[in-house]
Amino acid sequence: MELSQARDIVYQAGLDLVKEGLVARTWGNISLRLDDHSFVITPSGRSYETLAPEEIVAVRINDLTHQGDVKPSSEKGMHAEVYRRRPEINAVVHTHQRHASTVAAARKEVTGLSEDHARLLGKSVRCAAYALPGTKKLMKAAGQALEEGRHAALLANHGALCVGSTMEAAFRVALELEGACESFIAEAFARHYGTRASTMEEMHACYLTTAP
Amino acid sequence: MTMTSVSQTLCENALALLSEGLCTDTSGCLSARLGHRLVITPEDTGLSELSSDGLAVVDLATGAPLAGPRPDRRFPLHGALYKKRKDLGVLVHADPLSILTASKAGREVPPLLDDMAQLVGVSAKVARSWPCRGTAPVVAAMKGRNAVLLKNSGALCGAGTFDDARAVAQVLEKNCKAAIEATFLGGAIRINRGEALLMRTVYRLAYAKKRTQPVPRADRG
Repeated sequence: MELSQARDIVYQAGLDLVKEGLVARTWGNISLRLDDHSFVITPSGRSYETLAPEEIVAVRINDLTHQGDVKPSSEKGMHAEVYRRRPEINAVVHTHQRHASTVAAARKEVTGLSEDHARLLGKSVRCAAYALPGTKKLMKAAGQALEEGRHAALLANHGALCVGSTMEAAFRVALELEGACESFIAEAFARHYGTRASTMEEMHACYLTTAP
Repeated sequence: MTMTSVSQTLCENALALLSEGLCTDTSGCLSARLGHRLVITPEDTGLSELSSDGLAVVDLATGAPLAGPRPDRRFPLHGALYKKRKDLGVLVHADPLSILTASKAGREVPPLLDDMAQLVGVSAKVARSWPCRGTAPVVAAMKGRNAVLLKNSGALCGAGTFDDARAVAQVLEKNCKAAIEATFLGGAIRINRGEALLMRTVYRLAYAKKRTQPVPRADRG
């Protein structure tokens, strides 16, 4: 893929993810594979709304060196790890989405997925072992959590990692993951309280009646 | 910064807070420091009806109203925080669902997500005594942090700019949601205090550096 075309795709994905509420401000990061040796990724510390396509940075997969003066996301290593391990994956989206972050704070594996969710995400969504952001430990843990063909992983106390053969596919994974995590929380609530809640307000009201 | 530009920015951010669901028209309150004065939303006007020439101005040192309509009843709290915390340029009240629930539950919220540790601090404490016992317990509960939960009434979030204060409120809301709803999943696992402190320190250093550079370079991850 041409560099300019890849930059445009990442730029547009950033705007779309903000619109869907899956990332905000300067949080999260998005990348797209250029070829077997490199990918483009959003830069460090820039809001998606003020970013220009030419500021999307090209990074080499094997040594994480980058072209130009703009500094790539500090999570470039996690993206490179996915491209190294999964040749069929061409797009990676790291989000701080709300429901997935809640499950990630509990460090739970999302199981009992609906058929639709399982088709898109994999047989379950694992939670990668906790590691500080930007570290090799997080890189490895995220790669392992995506094993067995999974397309989404939770990052403990951090957020989510969604992958796909195209940017569109990775984007859809992020959206479906949010739905799957919302259902997972709702099911856990029903088991915990022996009743179903139709809104988050009801869940929180129940919580307050039993909070220690 | 002039009174006009600060007032306009405050009004724009009031609408942004509303559109982001971080407060309601009647519960929200915003203020900004302007030298030895503070500009604050008036007591009887909804956030959606604010105008830049209709804000209250209060003297920081004496707490005396200087201009405009009657200031929001929470102005003594804002004044006390500006006097104690030179790093705060703005304060906003936020009470979206999870922050409000956490403030009602009345327990200190630990850092469950790394952006909470970075932007808010190693926890969000609950100040129980406002307004009965004055401002000191709230100021103390917010020490070293960018937000404090006010018992039964949401949170007060502060930062250098309105954009950053709204980010603090968003992150606190997400962390409070995790703290509450993770209990259905068996409980959240908190980030240990040492690592939370480390993330907070690194973030603050990067933020300070960012403010001295023309192009922001803070961490994205």
